[in-house]
This record gives sequence, C-alpha cells and structure tokens, in this order.
Amino acid sequence: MPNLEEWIGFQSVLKKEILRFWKVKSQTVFSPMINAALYLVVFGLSLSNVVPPQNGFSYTEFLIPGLAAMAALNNALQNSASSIMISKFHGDLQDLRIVPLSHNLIALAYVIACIVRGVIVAAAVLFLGELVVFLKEGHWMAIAHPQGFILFLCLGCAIFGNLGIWIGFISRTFDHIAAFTNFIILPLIYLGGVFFSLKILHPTWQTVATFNPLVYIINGIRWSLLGASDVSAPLCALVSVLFVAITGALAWYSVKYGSYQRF
Amino acid sequence: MTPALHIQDLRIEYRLKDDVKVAVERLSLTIEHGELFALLGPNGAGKTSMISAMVSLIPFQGGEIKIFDHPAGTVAAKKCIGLVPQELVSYGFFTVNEILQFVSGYYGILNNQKRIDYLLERLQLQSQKNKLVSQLSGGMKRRMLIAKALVHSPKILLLDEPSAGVDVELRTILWDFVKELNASGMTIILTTHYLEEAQRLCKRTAIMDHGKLLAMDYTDKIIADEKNLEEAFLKLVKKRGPNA
Ligand SMILES: Nc1ncnc2c1ncn2[C@@H]1O[C@H](COP(=O)(O)OP(=O)(O)OP(=O)(O)O)[C@@H](O)[C@H]1O
Ligand SMILES: [Mg+2]
Repeated sequence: MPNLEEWIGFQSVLKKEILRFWKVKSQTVFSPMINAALYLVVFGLSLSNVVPPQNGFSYTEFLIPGLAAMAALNNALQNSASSIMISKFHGDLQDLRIVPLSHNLIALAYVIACIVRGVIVAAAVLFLGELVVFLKEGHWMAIAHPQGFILFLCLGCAIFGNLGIWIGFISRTFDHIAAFTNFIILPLIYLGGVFFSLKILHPTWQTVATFNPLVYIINGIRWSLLGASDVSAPLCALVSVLFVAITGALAWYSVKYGSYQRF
Repeated sequence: MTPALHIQDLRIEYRLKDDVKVAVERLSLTIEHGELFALLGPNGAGKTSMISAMVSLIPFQGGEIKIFDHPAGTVAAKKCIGLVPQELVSYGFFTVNEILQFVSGYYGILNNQKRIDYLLERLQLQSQKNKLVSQLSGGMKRRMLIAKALVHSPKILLLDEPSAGVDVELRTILWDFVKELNASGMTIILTTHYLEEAQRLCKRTAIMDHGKLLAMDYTDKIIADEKNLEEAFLKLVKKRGPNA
C-alpha cells in the first residue's frame, strides 16, 4: 500500500492531468461534444425515418449510447497519448522519472484522468442525445441501469486510457498517434456496433465481431442505457475487465520501461 | 561520515542504431557531504550523462552510484536530489506556481506555498509567479528550474550549467544564493563552462573528458603553477584532442 507521501504524489499527478485537459476544454471537451452532435443530427435525425427500429428502439435512441461510448473512448485514449507526447516535447516528462513516485501510481493517475475526461464527454453527449430525443419524440429517454452506465464507461475509458499511455510512450510524433487512432482504434470503434446492431451482420461477420473488444464495451453501455443489447451484460463486463487487465499491464510496462527523454 | 555521492567504476553507453557510444568510462569519484564541487569538461565530455544517470534519467551499464549510501534510483536516493537540467523545460499549460506546487506534491509535500514563495523571491521570480512557463524568457525559465529543484529542500543539488543564459546581475544573485545554500549544509555539484565561476566558488574540482576523469583535486592544486583554472583546464584537455 502506498504511504501518505506517495498518495500526495499520486494526487498531484492526477490533478495536473485533469487540469491539463480542462485548461484546453474547447478542444478536449466541447469539440467532441460538437462532433457527437453532428452525428446525432446527421444520422439520428435524418436516418431515423428510414432505418427501422433496432432492438425495439428508434434509431436515434439506439445511436445515443454508441455515440456516448465512442466519444468517451476516443477522448480517453487521446488524453493520455497526447499528454505524454506533449510532455516529451516540452521535456517535462522527465520530472516523473526523477521524483520518488512509483510506476504503479503514475500509471494509475494517468488512467484516472482519462476516465474523468471520458465520463465528462460521455455525460455531455448523453445530455445532447436526451435533448434531441425530447425535441423529436416528445419524451426523455429513460436510463435503464445508471450504475451500469458508469461501470461500463469507466471500464471502457480505463482500457482506452491504458492504450493511450502505451501509444504515447512508443510514438515519436503526433502523426504516430493519429495513425494508431485512424487505422486501428477508429475502425474497431466503428465496427463495434456504434451505428448498427450486430444482428444485421452476416453470421460470418458476427463471428468476426466477437473478437472486437469494443463490441463488449459498446454493448455494455447500450445495455445500461436502453436495457437491451446484442451481447449479454455479464459477458460484456467480463470481457471488459479482462481487457482492463491486459491493457493495464501494457500501460504499466510502458511507464516502467518507456523512454522519458525529450526529443 | 557517509559521502553525499559515491561513484565507482561508472560506465554509461548510448546504444545507437549500429554503434555503441561510450559516454562515461571507469569513472570513480566521491563527494563529501557539504561540498561545493565543480564538474568540468569540454562539450561532450560526459557531464550531463553522469548527472542523468545519478537521477535515473538514463540507465548505466556498469559500476555503481550511491547517494548518501542509497543506490541511485531508489526512493531514498531520489528524495535526496534536486536537479537543474541543462536543457530548458517548457511546461505548456501551466503557470510557474502551478508547476512548483505539482512538483512539491510529487515529493509528497502538501501546502508548500511558503517555501515556493521564498524560492521565487530569492530567484527574483515573484512577478512571474502566475505567468505561463512557456511565456518566460530563457533566463527566467532557468531560474524557475532552479526553484523547482529546491522545492523539496534536497540534500544534494545538481546544477547542470545553471548560469547559461542568465544575465550578469542575476548571475551574481544566483551565486550568492548557491553559496548560502551550501553554507546551510547542502551539497552542490556544479557544471559550468564559465571556469572563473568554478574557480571562485568551488573548493574541489574534477575535470573530465572523453568520459574519463583527467584530474580531481582541490581547485588551487589543479591550478598549481598556472595562471588560473582556465589555463590549467586547457592544458589538461589539449593533451587529449577533440571529442568524438
Ligand atoms: N541521447 C544520446 N544518444 C547518443 N549519444 C549521446 C546522447 N546524449 C549524449 N550523447 C553523447 O555522449 C557524450 C557525452 O555527452 P554529454 O551530454 O554527457 O556531455 P556534456 O559533458 O554534458 O557536454 P556539454 O558540456 O556540451 O553539455 C557525447 O559524445 C554525446 O554525443
Ligand atoms: Mg551537458
């Protein structure tokens, strides 16, 4: 167990990380909100008259949990990845190597900051979504399992925050981070059932989709909000926890053995 | 008494793509508690590499480094050291005061504002307290880094070219402060290319080149029959040719 001094150190890293994204909230919080609002308007409003109800919900309602998840996960990843990258540029990442703080606590502080940003962004998207549903359908969307929503959101953001730490340490330019995001993370998110129910896929692709960890996070969040999803909630939770452990090990390894040198 | 710093047979390598660059080789030195010690050498001699290994910024491939008998890299060793790095650091999003508070926190110190204010005052940075670090001039950033190295009142202060880019007046203020810290018992290791500063301040001096020690002794013994430290330094270094 960490002693008092280590807790103070941990809190300082956490506070610094949260303050970092909050100081540029127009980029880190509001811009993803606008992004999600666009999706809602373009896909939700325009397609909902064409696309049949999914899992018994209007397309707009179906879309909201997916959009909230997508925004949260993407922002969780960007948070740690760009924070570490920027710190390497400025040279202040070295501070963390010099000071008497354990790798575990440093990694934990970074991940929690990612979760905080992810939850704020998801809450904002959810709020927007509720507003759209209310304006369009005349009722608020009920939230089936609020605790489940928080749980899956935290698990998902932890996974992506961990991945962000790893990417931040191995990347040497912002282009590397963009490449990871565009070629690996975003396809996984898009193919994870944000915009459609997996049931409409060909059985072969359904099998392929079961290997995408995002399917479980997105469906977990959808289950929490709507009360129904393609994959059962306990399975979603189990797979998510498993991936938190795997990516957590990756993040811990990066913090312990990664390079803190500036370039 | 346990020495403040004990280095034995240190070897530091940089692994390049198809080559290994040896930056420090079989280097041993001991610095006693309370010394103000000059570590001198031409560009590329290995001073920064040695200092970086002491604070576990880079790994070392052989030998040992002990800080007050604690192996380098351990929590106990890290707590003893304050580092003023050679390269300026620019904290993009934060003010001077915020950074000093965060770094205090990293060392487990809560409510350190009194100490921070004292350091800012001594380094004439009070008026920059709430400015973004990125908006400071080079010399101000350097002084901010000195304050940062001192927030936790370390037992050893490593100054890697602290006077580079600092104007004449503030350099005087800086050296007065360094002397005062040393008088209060802090061990200080200083690298600088202003040899007259080293001669004036430091009782003992080590001169290194190509990763090896050329001389280590009382400063006046190193000067011996030469006019000043600079002459003695040039004579020692010239024998060996330029750095790779
Ligand atoms: N990151 C690195 N990768 C490869 N070689 C390096 C690296 N850093 C330093 N070196 C090499 O190691 C040697 C020692 O460098 P170092 O920075 O320790 O010198 P120094 O004595 O601090 O010089 P200066 O007075 O210019 O600051 C040099 O030959 C340098 O080229
Ligand atoms: Mg140097």
